[in-house]
Amino acid sequence: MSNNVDNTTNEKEQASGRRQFLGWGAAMAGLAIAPGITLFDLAHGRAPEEAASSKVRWGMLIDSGKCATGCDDCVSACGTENGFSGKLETDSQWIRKIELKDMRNGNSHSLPMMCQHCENPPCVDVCPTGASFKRADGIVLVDRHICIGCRYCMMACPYKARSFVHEELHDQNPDVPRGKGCVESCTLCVHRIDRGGQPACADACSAAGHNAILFGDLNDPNSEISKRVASSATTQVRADLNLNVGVRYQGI
Amino acid sequence: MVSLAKLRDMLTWQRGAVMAALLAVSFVAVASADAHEESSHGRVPVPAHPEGKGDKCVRDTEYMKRHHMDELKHQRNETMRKGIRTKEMSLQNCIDCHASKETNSVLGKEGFCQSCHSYAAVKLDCFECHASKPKIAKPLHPVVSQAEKAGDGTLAGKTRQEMQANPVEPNTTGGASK
Repeated sequence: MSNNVDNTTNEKEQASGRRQFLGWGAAMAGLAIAPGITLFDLAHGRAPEEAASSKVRWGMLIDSGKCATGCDDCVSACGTENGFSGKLETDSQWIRKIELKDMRNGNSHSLPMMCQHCENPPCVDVCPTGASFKRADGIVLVDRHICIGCRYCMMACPYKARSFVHEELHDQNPDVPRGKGCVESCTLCVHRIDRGGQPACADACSAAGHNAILFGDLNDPNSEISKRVASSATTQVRADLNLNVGVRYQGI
Repeated sequence: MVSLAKLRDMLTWQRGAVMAALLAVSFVAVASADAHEESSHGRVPVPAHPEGKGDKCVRDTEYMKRHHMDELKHQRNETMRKGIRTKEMSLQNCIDCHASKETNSVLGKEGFCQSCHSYAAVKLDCFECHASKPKIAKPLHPVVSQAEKAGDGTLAGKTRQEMQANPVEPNTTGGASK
């Protein structure tokens, strides 16, 4: 709605009135219809029986200007959340820190790199079994029940985001089943998102005070992430591939 | 003097009575064998199920014996593909209730899942990936928990926080107003 507002003050006022009206309508609809039951949660937590919706597109905006060189809080938070032991030689890597340095002027950046949750994911294109798929809300996942471990998707991914589990795993996090013989990658902490949370890396980054990772709904024009994507210059890594990634970068 | 026909009649009646008696005896024997099996498993080894923690299962036992695999498979697809995470038929819910009190697991010789699956010689590969133990409240990532102690309010998503603080603020209900 707000995108269609013209510059004239009158129309702006009208639009803001309309927004307010719609907002109040939403607030009314969000009211409890019975104790403990609401039509929908105002925050993004869905009811457990509600399927992920394509009205939402989860994404992240990473500000490399705020991402401290040498800090790996996001990486270790990912490991803790998803149960990487850190002891295996072949341990998976869902998120990694990258240092970029311009050799001409010495300007350096630090940024985390992980599955970019493409709108048109090459890993899904090449998967021979349909195990690699994109959920309605834009999260790219591997269905381990039907993954045969062929690793085509690892070849196809331009971001080197996927890992293969080479060894038997034990003591997995009950929310994050992982096992030998499957390809895996960042799930955007889908189990947290389904309960209304945000990815562990984003939590850890803001807890450490960096606030370099902003998580949110790219489809919602009023979300913090959409506002920032609309107002400042953001980059999609390998934008030339037209994958329309969900993870955007700022300051690179 | 007894006629031949009468004698034949008598024998037929006696034969019938003997048959009935035999049937009755065998029925009682079978019934007692059944009762015996239920109490101490008799000669046939039957897997011993550890008691569940809850009052009763989400469906009756007969249904679950036949259909737990279908329910779990259905649920797995719903959860994996659509993000539907209802508790009732989820594997986590099964494990929470059925984990053995001694080992805190559904695996092992006395484990709820494994005891029966080895008895039936059905391969059980759920737990190559899934945890076989109930979920425990893990401490948060050290950085996160420190911040929580310090009362840092930046943990949850900003949108969510704003909405919780200000649920009827029109500008923050964008997701809903679409």
